[in-house]
Amino acid sequence: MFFVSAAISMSVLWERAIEFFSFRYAFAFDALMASILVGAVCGLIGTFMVLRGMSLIGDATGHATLPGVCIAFLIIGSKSMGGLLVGALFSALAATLLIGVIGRGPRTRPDAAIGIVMSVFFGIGIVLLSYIQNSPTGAQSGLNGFLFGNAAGMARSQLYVLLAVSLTLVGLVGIFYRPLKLTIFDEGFARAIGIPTNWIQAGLLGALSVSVVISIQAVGVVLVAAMLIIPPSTALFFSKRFGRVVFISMGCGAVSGAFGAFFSYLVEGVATGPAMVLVAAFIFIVALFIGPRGGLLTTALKKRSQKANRVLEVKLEGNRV
Amino acid sequence: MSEVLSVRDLNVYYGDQLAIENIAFTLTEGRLIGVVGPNGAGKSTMIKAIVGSLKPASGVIKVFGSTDARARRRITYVPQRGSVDWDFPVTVKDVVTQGRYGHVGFLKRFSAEDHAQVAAALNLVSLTELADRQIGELSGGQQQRVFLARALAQQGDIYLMDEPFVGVDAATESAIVDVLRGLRNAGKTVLVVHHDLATVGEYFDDVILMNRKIIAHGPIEQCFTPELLQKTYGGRLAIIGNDKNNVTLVTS
Repeated sequence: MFFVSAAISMSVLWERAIEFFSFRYAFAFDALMASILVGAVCGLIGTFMVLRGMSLIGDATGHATLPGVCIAFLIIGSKSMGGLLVGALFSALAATLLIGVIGRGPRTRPDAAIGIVMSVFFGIGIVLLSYIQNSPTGAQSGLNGFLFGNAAGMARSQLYVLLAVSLTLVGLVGIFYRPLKLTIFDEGFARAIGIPTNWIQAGLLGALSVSVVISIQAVGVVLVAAMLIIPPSTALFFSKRFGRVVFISMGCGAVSGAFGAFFSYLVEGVATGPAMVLVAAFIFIVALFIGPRGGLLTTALKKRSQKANRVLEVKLEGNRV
Repeated sequence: MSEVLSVRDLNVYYGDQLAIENIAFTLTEGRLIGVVGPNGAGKSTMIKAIVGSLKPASGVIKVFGSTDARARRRITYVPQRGSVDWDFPVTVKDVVTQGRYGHVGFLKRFSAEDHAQVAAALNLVSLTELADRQIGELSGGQQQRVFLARALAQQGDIYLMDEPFVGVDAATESAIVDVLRGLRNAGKTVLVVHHDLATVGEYFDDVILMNRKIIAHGPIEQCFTPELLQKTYGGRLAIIGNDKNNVTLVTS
């Protein structure tokens, strides 16, 4: 009985997979493409943030977009996506600036500043969101899709915007690749050879805000940070070269996006964000164990074979005596 | 002897604390200079301010007589080893190649000349075999040599080095000293922040004694004297032996 139902659900799964990935439905295609783009862009910008030790700024920026989205909705009065995203961008930038200002002071450390700004902005966002949900126009606004992401709710025109912004970000990173890399690796040396590191840093934070803003519809404000942090952390298990880490991270993000969108399509009611994050986390766990560079199992096996070699050498020495 | 680097009226604040005060000195070509002083004397701060890694409150820095930003590129900076994350995903060769960034700019491809300079620098510090290693897999001494190789690849005329001998084994220390002497003999000016007073006389031509201000600057024979050291370190210095060529010092 169990096997029969399992066999049926397997065949259903394949059917649904073919249905989803064959682009038979335009909305499925849009959701898939949007999720892949978001995964790749977050993987790209996230690599710089993680290696700079600023992972949590992404978390703060994500949460901080919510009040902007809500305020924009209240001003415009309808769900005009462009307006909402501009609102999101303003509040993301405001939060980033605020973290810089508060975290610089002698009493508040940067990590504390991140925590304060993130929770306050998110708190304001949730209050505004509840207010909107309870108002007659707001109930059908679908704004709560921003919390955990709803890639299927994306229009074709938004996909084009996402594509254009993604390509711009990739292009900018390509142009400023050397100064970016050197600034996050060795800021003192970068400044000494004449790189304007403050501008590079500001540009990086700007790129972070933009990528968070274009991602929140697909992944949601709560979990967007995971897509900035998990794929780069996975990639670090695979390469010792920065350039390759960037590419692998983008790949992990894109794959997580694709399968996340699929699972969200497969299981009704599962938001895209959590689904993407779980796929990304699964890849990360695999890398954590069997990643060629510092994976737990890999390292243990290496140590064991080294030990075995040493024992063998000792034995050989003993035989010689 | 031509004037290579001149520093005038250099003041740096940390918050409202004056970290270095009215620093002024002039360096000439072909000299190996040690900078010596107690912890917190502002030695690193001074170097960072000269290379532009830190913004001074005031100061005029002339490189070959020019205050131009371009002239400053002839300075090569070797930061403290502890200033970077050695788990960063870069190989030894990548880091040494960074020494060429200033020459090629943002987008240009590295020329044969760039590659040759990188290879020569790696060879000079005996890291050719480790070129493809991730930098975290190296020992402290090897890591310091990576920084030195990056500086060599940069082909500057003035080298400012922040504690290159910290956490370094004896073999690496003498290898680094040999490279520095080679630079000096080739007419370069090399300024090194140094901690081990026992080796100052052996390694350097000149010494700068500083404790927030410059206490003395000149040839070892004139400036590396017990009286001036006492003045630099205050009560924190005990002088045990004092032969003509062998001053044994203990700091606490």
